[in-house]
Amino acid sequence: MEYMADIEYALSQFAQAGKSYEGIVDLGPKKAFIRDDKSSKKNIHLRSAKNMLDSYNKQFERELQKTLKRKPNFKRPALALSADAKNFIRACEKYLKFYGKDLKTKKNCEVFTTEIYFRNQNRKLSETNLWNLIRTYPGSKEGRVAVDNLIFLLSDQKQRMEQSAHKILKIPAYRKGEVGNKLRALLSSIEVERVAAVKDPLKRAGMFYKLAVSKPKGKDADKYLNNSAADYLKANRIHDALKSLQLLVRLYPTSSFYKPALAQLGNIHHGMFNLAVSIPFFIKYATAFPKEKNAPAALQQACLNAIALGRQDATNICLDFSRKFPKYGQFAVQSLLSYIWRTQQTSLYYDILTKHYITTYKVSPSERLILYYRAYKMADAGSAIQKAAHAQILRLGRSSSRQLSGEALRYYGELIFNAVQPQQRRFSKLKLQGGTVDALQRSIEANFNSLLQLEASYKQVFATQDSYWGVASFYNIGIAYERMGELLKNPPAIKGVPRQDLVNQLDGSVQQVMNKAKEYYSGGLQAVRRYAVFNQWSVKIYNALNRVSGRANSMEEIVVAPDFIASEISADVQASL
Amino acid sequence: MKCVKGYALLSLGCKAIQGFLKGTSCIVLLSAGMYGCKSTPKAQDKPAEVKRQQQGLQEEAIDLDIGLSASADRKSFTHSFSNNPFTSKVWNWKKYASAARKIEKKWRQDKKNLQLLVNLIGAERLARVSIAKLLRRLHTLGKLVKEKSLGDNIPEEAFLEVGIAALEQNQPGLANTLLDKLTVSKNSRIRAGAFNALGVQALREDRTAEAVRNWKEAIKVVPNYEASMLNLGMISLKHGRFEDARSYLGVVSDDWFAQSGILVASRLMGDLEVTAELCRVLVKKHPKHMPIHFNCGIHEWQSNQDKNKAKQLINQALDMKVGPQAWSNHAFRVLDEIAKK
Repeated sequence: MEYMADIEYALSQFAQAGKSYEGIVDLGPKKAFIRDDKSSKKNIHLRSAKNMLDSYNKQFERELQKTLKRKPNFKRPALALSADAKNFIRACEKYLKFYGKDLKTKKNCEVFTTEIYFRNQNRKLSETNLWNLIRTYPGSKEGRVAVDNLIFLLSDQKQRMEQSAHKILKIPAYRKGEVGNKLRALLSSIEVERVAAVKDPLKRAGMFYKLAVSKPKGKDADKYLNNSAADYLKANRIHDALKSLQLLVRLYPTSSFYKPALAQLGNIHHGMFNLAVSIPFFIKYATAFPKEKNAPAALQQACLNAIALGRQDATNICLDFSRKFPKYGQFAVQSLLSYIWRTQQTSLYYDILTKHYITTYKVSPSERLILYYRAYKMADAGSAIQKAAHAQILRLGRSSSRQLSGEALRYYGELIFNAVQPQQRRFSKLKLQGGTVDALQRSIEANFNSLLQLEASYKQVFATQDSYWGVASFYNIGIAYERMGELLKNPPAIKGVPRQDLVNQLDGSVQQVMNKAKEYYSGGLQAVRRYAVFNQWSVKIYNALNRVSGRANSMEEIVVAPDFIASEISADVQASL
Repeated sequence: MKCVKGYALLSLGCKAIQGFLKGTSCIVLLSAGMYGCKSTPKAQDKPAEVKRQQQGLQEEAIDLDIGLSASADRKSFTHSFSNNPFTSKVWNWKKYASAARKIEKKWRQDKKNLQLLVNLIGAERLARVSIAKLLRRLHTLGKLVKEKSLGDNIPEEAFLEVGIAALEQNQPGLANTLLDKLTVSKNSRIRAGAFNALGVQALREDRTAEAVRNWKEAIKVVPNYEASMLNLGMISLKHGRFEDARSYLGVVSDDWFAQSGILVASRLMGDLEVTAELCRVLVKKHPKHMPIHFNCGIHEWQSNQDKNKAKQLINQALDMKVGPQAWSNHAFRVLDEIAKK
């Protein structure tokens, strides 16, 4: 039988040879003898068993190579084993039944048998054989491959896979190294998936948070905190969301979630009007990511929030923003200047205005003038700041009065008007000289000249085209003419000329002068009506016009200054009073 | 692994914070009656109202869009910023303190109630609670709004209250941050309230033209907005713009303070019947109001040439010993003048 098998083997009829050798193996070691001419008998069982394995292996070799390259799909049914595969497996079983102590062959047989079942998608037998390899060859390459294959095999049975991973990790050889890490990562991802599958966002958020804090050094701890925050937000648990985000920002400054977390923290606190807390997050965001599109907006918000809170560091934050992002900073510095003006910090205001705002931004003449006017009004009388601001207002007013806004024009007009006031005061003190006609004549002429000079000076105010101070000028010129009229109406005594003659003589001039006063008052009143002027001179003009027109009416009434505010109060509040 | 995405990154506009002022809106029609303009004024008590109707001035129905939290039961509460006792719009802060306590008690039992918290902020502002406390309330409100999935939509009524409180307590940074933002609110009453408050701020800064501009904006947003009508009326009167004064005050002529302004404007416009009638009613109704007595004394002196009655009324005004010293000085000067003439 052996000769037959050898011939078949020599003829490469491996399946037939294997079968022949198998026949010998089946006889068992006690009966498999051969008698040749010289010796009595020789046991050929082991030799036949090896030949059987070799023959079946040779027969199966080509198919095995193909099988080993196949990627199993355990979602599909198991593939039927070929006759050669079955022969190979059976040969292994038979060989090992008799020669189980041949460890090398045993290992090969176990590895290839496992592979055959695995590649042919035989779930049950694969699992059994893989476990056998895992347990029998821990720490070896074969053991590690078996772990991978087992995990692959169980990938659609999460619970069994998790149990298996735990079981494998109990074997010391698999705890450390690559396999251990892989298994732990696998268990972790199973946990994450389990958490992610939870439908209740609040529960899920808590689980993500626990995952992160239980392994703060874990690869994905930052992700878990991020997910936990997002889920807490979904569940409207703001406090907890903030806690997750804050932990993320504190522990993982290099995480890819750090940037959105910072922005989120700033925005959430800002949205809840927790302005003080939002500021450092906005600043951190803009400082850490200055190239981000939102960086200017974040720093601007920090600046505006600091202004809103009246914080000492508002100036630094806002100027820092303005210097870092000059393209976007004008509004913030404007707000800062308004705030500083309203809190009357003169030097600081003037410094920012002159050394930063005007030199950094394009500022319209009107805005510039208004800003200088604020400095002028805030500064101590006669101080260097006031003088400098005064000079700037005049320069701006002269160079661009036609482009100025109503408010700017009013401030420029005020300075021009004020400049005329010493002249007005001097005029109001002038008197007529009596004694001789010449003296009277000279003093009348002198007074008229002063009056004309005063009138000419007020032309500068009218030239500004500011109606507010224009009305005041109308009144002041009117009052000057009226005073001139009063002086002429009551001339000082002249020697040798009866008083009544003198009065009669001057009467024509009085009428002319009074008419002129009336003209100015009327002009003023027209301006009040035409330009919606709101100032104290409106009433003065009204009273003066009535006075020179001989009407007794004057506005003497007390008018309570209005300061009415309204807010939207609920009926409940009113009811609870 | 499923990873939650979709964080809203900074969504701040470059000019200003827009997010927290958003509000959904609905349309509510309110009749002008809500502003104290009753439909049938009694001729005896309200001659100015009659006059106004004779002039064909009509109140218009007001089209309002109320923001997220505004409920139909909210009304504009007009009051004097300085609680000036010479106006009709004084409020008793102690009563509001008591109301605030009641609301707080209610709110403590129902801490998720957004409306109650907004109401509490309103009552506390009128009870003159510190700005720090109001800011804490606003923050609590912000949290509540977030927890109720309302985004950043803190009810604007609360912002308006805190903005006004900031003005009162000289916190210009906060006041302007809030009020400036509210001038672009979708809720017209809030917008009007913000413009009006900014007008009061401008007036306090001696920028009358800017104050007037803001008040005019307010009445553009809500026609006949009471606070702005009163402000515009009285500032016009103070600055000799009698026709304007009468026109603005005429719209709110149910209010006795407005009537006291109409009284002056009418006299200076030569409408002496209206003045006489208003003096008769107001002197009787407000025996302790110094300006009314004084102004009616002026009327007696200048319009009726009744020096005795004038002196009597002005002396009554002086006897009240109220108001700033300048008023008394002026009254004495007028008495001298009457005596001279």
